[in-house]
Amino acid sequence: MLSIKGAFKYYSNNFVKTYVLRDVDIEVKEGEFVTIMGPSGAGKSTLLYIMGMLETLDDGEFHYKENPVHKFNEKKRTNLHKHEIGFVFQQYHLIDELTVYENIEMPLLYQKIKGSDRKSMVCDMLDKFNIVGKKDLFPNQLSGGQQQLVGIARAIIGKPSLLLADEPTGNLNSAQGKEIMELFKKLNEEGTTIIQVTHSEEKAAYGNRIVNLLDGRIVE
Amino acid sequence: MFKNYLKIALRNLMRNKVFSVINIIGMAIGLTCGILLSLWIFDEIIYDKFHENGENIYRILENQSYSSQNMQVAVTPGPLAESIKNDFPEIVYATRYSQGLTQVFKVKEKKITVTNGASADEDFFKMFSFPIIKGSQTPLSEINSIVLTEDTATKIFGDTEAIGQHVSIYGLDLQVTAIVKNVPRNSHISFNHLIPFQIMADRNPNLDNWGSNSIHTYIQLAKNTSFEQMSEKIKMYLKEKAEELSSELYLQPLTDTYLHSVGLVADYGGMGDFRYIVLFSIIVLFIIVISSVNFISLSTARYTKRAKEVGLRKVVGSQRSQLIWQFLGESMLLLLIALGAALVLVELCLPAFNNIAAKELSLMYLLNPAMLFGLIVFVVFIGFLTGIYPAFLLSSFKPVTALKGSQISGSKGSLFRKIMVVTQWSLSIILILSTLMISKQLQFMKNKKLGFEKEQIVYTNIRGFNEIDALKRELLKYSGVESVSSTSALPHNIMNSTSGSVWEGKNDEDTFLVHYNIVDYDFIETFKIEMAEGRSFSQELSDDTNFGFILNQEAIKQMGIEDPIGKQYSIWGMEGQIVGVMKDFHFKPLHNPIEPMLFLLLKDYLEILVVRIDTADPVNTISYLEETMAKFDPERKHEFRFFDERYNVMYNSEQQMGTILRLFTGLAIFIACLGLFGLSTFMTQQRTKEIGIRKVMGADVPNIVVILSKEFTKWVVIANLIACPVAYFIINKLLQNFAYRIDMSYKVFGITVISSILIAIVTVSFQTIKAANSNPVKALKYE
Repeated sequence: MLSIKGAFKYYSNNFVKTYVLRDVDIEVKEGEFVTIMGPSGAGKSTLLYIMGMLETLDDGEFHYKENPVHKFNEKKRTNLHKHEIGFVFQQYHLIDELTVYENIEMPLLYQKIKGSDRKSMVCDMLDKFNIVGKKDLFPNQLSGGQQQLVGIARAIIGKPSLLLADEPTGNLNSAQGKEIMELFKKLNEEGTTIIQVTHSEEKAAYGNRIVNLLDGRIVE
Repeated sequence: MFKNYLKIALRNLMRNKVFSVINIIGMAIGLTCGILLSLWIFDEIIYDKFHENGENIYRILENQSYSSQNMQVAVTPGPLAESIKNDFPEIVYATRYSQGLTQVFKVKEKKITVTNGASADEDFFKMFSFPIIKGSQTPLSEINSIVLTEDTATKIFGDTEAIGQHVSIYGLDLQVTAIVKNVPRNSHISFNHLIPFQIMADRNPNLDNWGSNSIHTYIQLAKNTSFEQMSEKIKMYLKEKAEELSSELYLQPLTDTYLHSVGLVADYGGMGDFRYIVLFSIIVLFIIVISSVNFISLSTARYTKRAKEVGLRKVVGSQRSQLIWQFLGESMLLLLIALGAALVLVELCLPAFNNIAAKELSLMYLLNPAMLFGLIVFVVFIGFLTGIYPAFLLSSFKPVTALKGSQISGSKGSLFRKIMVVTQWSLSIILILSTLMISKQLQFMKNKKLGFEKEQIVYTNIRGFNEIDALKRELLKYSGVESVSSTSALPHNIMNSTSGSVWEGKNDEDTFLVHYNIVDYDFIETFKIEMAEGRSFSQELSDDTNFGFILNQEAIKQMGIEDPIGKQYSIWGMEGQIVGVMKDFHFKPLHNPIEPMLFLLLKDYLEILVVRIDTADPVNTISYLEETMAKFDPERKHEFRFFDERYNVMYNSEQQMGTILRLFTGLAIFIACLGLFGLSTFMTQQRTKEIGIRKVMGADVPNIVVILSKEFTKWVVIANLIACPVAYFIINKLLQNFAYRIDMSYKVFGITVISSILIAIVTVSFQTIKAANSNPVKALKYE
């Protein structure tokens, strides 16, 4: 589904290059549930955002479903990722000024989906996650677990083929965390490819492959 | 999608109430000022634009040159109109014209005073678009006709039909031949009634004389006649008519007359001045820039709070252009709200503004297509301008960094804001300095020693009255009367001048223009004009009536006479001697330098009685004066007025402009303060964490207030450094308009600089003190 070859990523600061990724090769097949692990500063999140097309490579190749993403400009990348990829964040990143309903609806606006269709799609999601009663609340009126549910609902409403999660349970207590991981597992079984970043061995166990990163390199 | 944008925009406005209110109020006040001043400007520039033939109508002016100066004169000889029309086929119509006469109408034994009467020739109604409602279409063709405006007709005849009625002026029986619509306010030609010019010409033989300039001449050229060629053709016309005339003629387009007649001698009163148009346009520009800067810097500050939203929208697939439109749209929305508020404010302020500016402005002007188009273009332009920078800045955030919430405000954004604040404050300071100096100049002119004393003098019209000496004796009997004299013109604005004087030792090539005033005995004493040499006119020395002349020092200087007393001098063929030299006094508004002046005694031309009264009981003294006048001249009603009031009227338009200027400068500074307040709120919020850390490390409250205030004070100081030299230059230019002007005052500069910094510190301190007193633990947790 996606393959990255010879990937380099660095930041220049006062003419000193700080490498975040060095010569990374990774391939993810459709239907996989991959976990990226590693200590702080290993480059896990950077790798995840590159796969999500929010960051670019400084060197190397990135193909997504036969598309040479490393050759795309911002506009082309945006067009590809908005239909293909969903994101879940540790801090949920819901928009405070929008209600639960409106937060979930937002990606559909950018995908130019008709109003009536949007409504039924959002209602399906609310139903599926059992948050119909919360649809008119604002994010700060929800618990962390509930906020993350909204975050996931928003990530998958556009039916992406790939779901990227950056420490999705990092801010949650263990019961909430477990619930979210069960949800991921279910989504994976329904056919969504998932890549998650986590520190926790326990959460990694939900996936079916682990990639370890250390100082920007993949270690076996 | 639009609904989503609107929703989030409105919710953001509600959430950041302080910012939104500051942003909207600042812009609304700015727009209010802009709209008010634009209405004023619009009202000035539409003057005389309603005449259908306006493009082809011109006023003939004269350019007179003398060795000491050139003069542009608004009046022309009486025979000019008819003669020039006969000589040039390109001139289709021509009319003599004069206005401003107050006349007493006799209608069936009733006396009615009608102000602002005018006289013109038959062509007048063919040239100008003053629609005739009733009566003859050529109403001035009969010598004994009179034309009334609707209001005048109602005033005189009430509801009865006015056409065909008779009124009597100067003992002539005139018949009302037409009623015209009231003259619109925005017309420099203005009258309540109109009589054939020939009536005036018959009463004043001077009007048939090529050598006497006293009336206005308007002509209409055939379509497609070249203005330049025509100007060239008529340039030397007077010389062709009479060899001794050297004045050149030139044409002034009708549409330029109102605003571009500044400095013309013997023009109508109440004309406009294009320099005020320029000045006010600049102020509009300044205020709009100042409030736009607020808008931009506050928006960028406010939007940085929304970095997360930008990041997220990019993550879920928003294009950069979509984000730009979103934020541009928000700016537009805010601007529209401000515009709505501004329109309400304008409507509320208009009565007061009209009062100050002596105008009748109305919001209806905005419905004028040009004005409406201008407003829409302006709002879209400002919306775009103020929205585009924040929109680009925001949409450029990288999604990942934006979501992490790290340094998104960036050094670039804050540098931009600094430049904005400096610009804003520079403009405000320039405005303040200019306004203060202009006010000082006006004050100076009001208090300037004129060379005569204008207080305690009352005057009244005695034209055509011939028992002056007896009257004078009678008045002087009253204890409250100090001195009595009469004159042909009041000494604050003497306009008559002549080039026909000859003196001992005059060279043939000397052309010498001298202003003259015909006075009675005791005039110099009544106005307390000081003498430099010789004596003033004296009743005891009978030779004065045999042509004694008194000149001012400037005249003696220009003529180059040494030991002037007793020297021969003659004017208009009247030979005599110089008996005295007065010290120079200001007989024209202080815009003008002092020019040569001649006083002479001629009993026949005295028109105004002047009386110096003592301060004890002016009310009774004046009623005594009026009663005594009534005994001598029961036919007329006599009213005495105070001369110093008349004098102050001369500077009315300047006082008006001064008031308007102060008002808008005050508002500009207020807007700039709002901006600074908003920005300081934002900046202190941004530095919450820093403040927390500093407090934990042991900084006390004053310490932190100083750290926070320093930043803003620095900008305002820089703004002062930029503004002062610019203001110096501008003020210098402005003061050039006055012949007698104040020196550049460094005190004003000093006070302005210090107070601007103080104002800035006080504005900022509201926020800094609050921030410095906050609990450090909370500040750190917040982050």
